[in-house]
Amino acid sequence: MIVPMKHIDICAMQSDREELLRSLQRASVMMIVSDDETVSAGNTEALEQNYIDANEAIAFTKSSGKVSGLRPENVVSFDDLDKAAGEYAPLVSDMLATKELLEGKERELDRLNSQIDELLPWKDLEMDLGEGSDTKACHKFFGFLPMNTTISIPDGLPVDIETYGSSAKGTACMCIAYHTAVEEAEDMLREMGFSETPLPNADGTPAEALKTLEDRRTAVEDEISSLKKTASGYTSSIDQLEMDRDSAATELARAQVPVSLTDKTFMISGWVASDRVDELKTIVLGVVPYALIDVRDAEESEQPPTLTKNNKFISQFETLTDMFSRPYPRGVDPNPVMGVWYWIIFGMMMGDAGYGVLMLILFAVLKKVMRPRGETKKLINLLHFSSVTTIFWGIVFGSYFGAEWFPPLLFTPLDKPVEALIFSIIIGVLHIFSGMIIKMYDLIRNGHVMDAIFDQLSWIVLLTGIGFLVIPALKTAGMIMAIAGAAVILLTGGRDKPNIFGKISGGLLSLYNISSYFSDIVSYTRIIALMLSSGVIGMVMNLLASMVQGSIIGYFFSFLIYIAGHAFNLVMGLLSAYVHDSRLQYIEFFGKFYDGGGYAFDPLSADTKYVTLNDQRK
Amino acid sequence: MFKNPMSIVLIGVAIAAALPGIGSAYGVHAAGKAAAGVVSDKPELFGKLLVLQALPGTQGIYGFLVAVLILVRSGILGGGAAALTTETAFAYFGSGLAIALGGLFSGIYQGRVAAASILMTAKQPDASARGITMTALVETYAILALLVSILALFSI
Repeated sequence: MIVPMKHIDICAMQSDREELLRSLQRASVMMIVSDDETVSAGNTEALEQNYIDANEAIAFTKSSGKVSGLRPENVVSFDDLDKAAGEYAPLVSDMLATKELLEGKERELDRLNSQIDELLPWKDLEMDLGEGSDTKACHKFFGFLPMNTTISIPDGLPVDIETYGSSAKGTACMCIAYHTAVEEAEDMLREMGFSETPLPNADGTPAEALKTLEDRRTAVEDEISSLKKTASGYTSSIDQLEMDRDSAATELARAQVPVSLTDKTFMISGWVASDRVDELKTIVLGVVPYALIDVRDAEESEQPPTLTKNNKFISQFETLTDMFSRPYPRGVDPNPVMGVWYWIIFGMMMGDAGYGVLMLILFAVLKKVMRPRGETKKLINLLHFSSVTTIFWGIVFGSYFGAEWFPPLLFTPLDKPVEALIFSIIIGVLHIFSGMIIKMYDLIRNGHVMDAIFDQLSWIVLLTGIGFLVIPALKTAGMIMAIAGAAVILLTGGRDKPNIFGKISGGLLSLYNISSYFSDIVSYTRIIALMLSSGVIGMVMNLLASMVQGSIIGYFFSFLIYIAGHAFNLVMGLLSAYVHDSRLQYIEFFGKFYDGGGYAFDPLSADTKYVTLNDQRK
Repeated sequence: MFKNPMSIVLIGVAIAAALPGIGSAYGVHAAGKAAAGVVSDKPELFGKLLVLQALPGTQGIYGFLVAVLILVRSGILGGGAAALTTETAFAYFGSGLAIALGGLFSGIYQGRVAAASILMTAKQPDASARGITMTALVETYAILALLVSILALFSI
């Protein structure tokens, strides 16, 4: 059901603004909208920084220690959450300071490591690094020779080469030449592939410099490990941090509310569900007794947001419709009918009682462990609900983990594939008809009775008639219905056209739509195809598992194949059923009557990602 | 070769398993490349994209399924293959062709639509359901081919 919306304006003194917005946020009752003249209600910049810091602190905590996913749920009231804003700021700034310190130390460690790497090949060089490369008599070349170069010095050249350790660059070496022989030495070195590299910049001999650096490295490593220890200690504060994030986000949401201002007053405008108008008025007047409240219906030119209200079962399926397109606020809500069909068809596509039981357990555990929220929670819930239909159809068609443990109530699809096809087509026809009936309801509600009869009912009669033709007992009735339906379509299909040619061609063209109805109906054979495919793959897994049995090792592998095979089949089956069931709803079902085009009702409320509020409905 | 009907059936089995497998491998590969590119930039979309990437993988499963069904129905698995004649062997061979060809081409083209939908999802994460629907439209023809293969197989 789509809840009708009222437009509301509230005007009050600026001094009451914070308190009023807080009360509205607590009640989660009003969607406040912006226009050209509105500005943010609070100082968003500082609050945004708090929010960013809070997220950063949580990310840091999670990266520096193990945070249990099975902590008890943190349930608080809105006021507790609101009071917590800023309460943990010292903790957060402590943590961020630690984080910055740690990052600084890690950068220093990187730098030390690269300095040490650079020095290491020169470890045995016994001279001060700052000494320079020229003495009175000699010039020294420092650099690297390619690995495994054979060093051969021409006879009589006053040159000596000393090699040291090696690194990725090659073998470190020093070449000493008299000043008189520098040019010959250069030529010789070039031929050997020598690359001249300045010595690392440090004090003392390489060995001394290395010692200093390595001592420093040990010290830094100690500091890092003690900082990490501090950081991992923060994991015990994760609850506070999560609370901090949610309270910061909630405060920010309140500050971002668009308001129009005068010198002394402010005004907010937006939408409220018509059944909560009185509640809203009570809240506002409770805070500001002299506030001005103006409630009115939406004007023709305005499109209010869409809020659907369904029972607990159907509302889980709303997420499917919302992914397609939200209902238009003045249209019909497809969810009550769509949800039930989705539920039934999902079960048929899975079609295995064993997998149904697995789903029942699996999604119950998932809900306990993951504690999903919002859309994810709805998705998991609807898969959980669908386990019931999966078990049901599995029993009807006698499939238990791909084997027939009990005889089927109806028939085994593999033995009677044609019957199974007809069965899925009947489901499809009923599904499509229910969509057309909703369309008729919508047309009649808006006063288009003729359109309902000529464009919808005529097709229902025609298609039913064609179906009856197959059954010998109903053949005559089917013939009459088919002809009557076709005649109505032929005669009225072009009723909007101005002249006689338009009317005739319009009628013929409408009748041509029969091909699209047929392709829609044939599309439902996928139900049985998917049921067969998951059933047969299960069967194949059983077969493979039974083939390796015979010894103890055989039974072990057989067990592994059985478990892994059925797990794979279950996951693929769920994916296929989810996708193809959605497709049947979106294309075949919604195509008959539903356009959508609404946008979500998103009231000012607490923005919680971790904690659960006990006094706010979401 | 036609002296031994079993070899005809086995060639059919191989084709039924391999061609849709090739189609799916191509499809999943094309979608996977697109998804990997997107995930490098937006890791939070991984879950949504995984569904899209997995979609072109079903053809390979359909082909595998028909291949095993042919093995079972013809008696090669589980005994009874001795009764095969050249005529029935060709019938088994033919029954697998529908999913072989339908799966090969629909897998390839579904992969391309999946890749395009993945790129669309990268720009508009809320539109992923529409991308899934568009991608699933291509699979219709693989499902119809699978049905024909199964029906043909069970009417031999």
